[in-house]
Amino acid sequence: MELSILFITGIISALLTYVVNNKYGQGAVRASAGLSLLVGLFFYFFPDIFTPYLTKNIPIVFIGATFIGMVSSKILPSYLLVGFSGFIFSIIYLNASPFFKGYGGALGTTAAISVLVSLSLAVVSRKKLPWRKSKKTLN
Amino acid sequence: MTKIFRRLSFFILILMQFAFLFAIFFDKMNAPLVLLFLGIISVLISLAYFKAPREEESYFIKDLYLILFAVTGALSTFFINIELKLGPVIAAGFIGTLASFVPSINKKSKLLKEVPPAVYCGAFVGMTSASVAPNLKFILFAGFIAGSILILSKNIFNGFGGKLGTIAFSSIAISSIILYTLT
Repeated sequence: MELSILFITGIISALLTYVVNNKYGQGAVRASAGLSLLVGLFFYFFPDIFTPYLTKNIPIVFIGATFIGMVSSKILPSYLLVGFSGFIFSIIYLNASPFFKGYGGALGTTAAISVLVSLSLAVVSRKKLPWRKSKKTLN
Repeated sequence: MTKIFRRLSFFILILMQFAFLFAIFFDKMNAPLVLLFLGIISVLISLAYFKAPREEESYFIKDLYLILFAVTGALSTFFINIELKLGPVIAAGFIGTLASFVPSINKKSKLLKEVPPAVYCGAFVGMTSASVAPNLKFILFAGFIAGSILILSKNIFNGFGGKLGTIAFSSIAISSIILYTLT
């Protein structure tokens, strides 16, 4: 149950940031930082709503998955793939090695890996990507 | 020259992502399902590296300001995170939100537009826990490295989610290695 909540958090967070970033044009940094700040503050002021495990992990999964949503819609123009990245993010996060525990940027690296996975899926499935089309016309 | 820098930063970022995956690999040796998952995503991300769009843009002295922004972000986030004990998520979120409003001061300035990503990249450096970063000097140094990698990598992975985080991770890893060899 707790694990599935973390998975849902990852997917929602990635999609929400992607929408605020691209559709509402707030820019990648404000979308990610603003949403994370809201979630962080919520769990800071209401630490007893969820179990201690969730209170500790939801904000971390949330901020990590917002990094996925920072992707530009020119690079990854698909809600499905962004949501999928959020799912991959949660899997990697739950299995992450304690070796890099406490490293700043570990979440970002995880996000980058999940975005790259989605991107290559888009390439493999021959999805039309804006930057690929422009490359072809250039050559 | 632009090409050499681009390749160098490309190499650093790839190396870090694979180091991260390798750490999971050695940790989960006896979990075949995780290993299979790791294998699949390694193949997929290698494919993405070759297909990722690149840009050709030369480097300028004004890019050096990015180091200053990154260091500012790193120190302020670390302060809120550790000294004020508000935790990494609120710290990075707060500093990032503040930084995202900096370009509104003067919408014509190109330099101010570079502030939010650089500060947010620094903020990730500042999210480091006190067990990894012994003092502010470490964060100062790591922020400096992060800013440098940010400049080097300005032609790759633009608009990718996680680019800034990978840069921050690289800078912390490099700083830890240097700290480890010196002591």
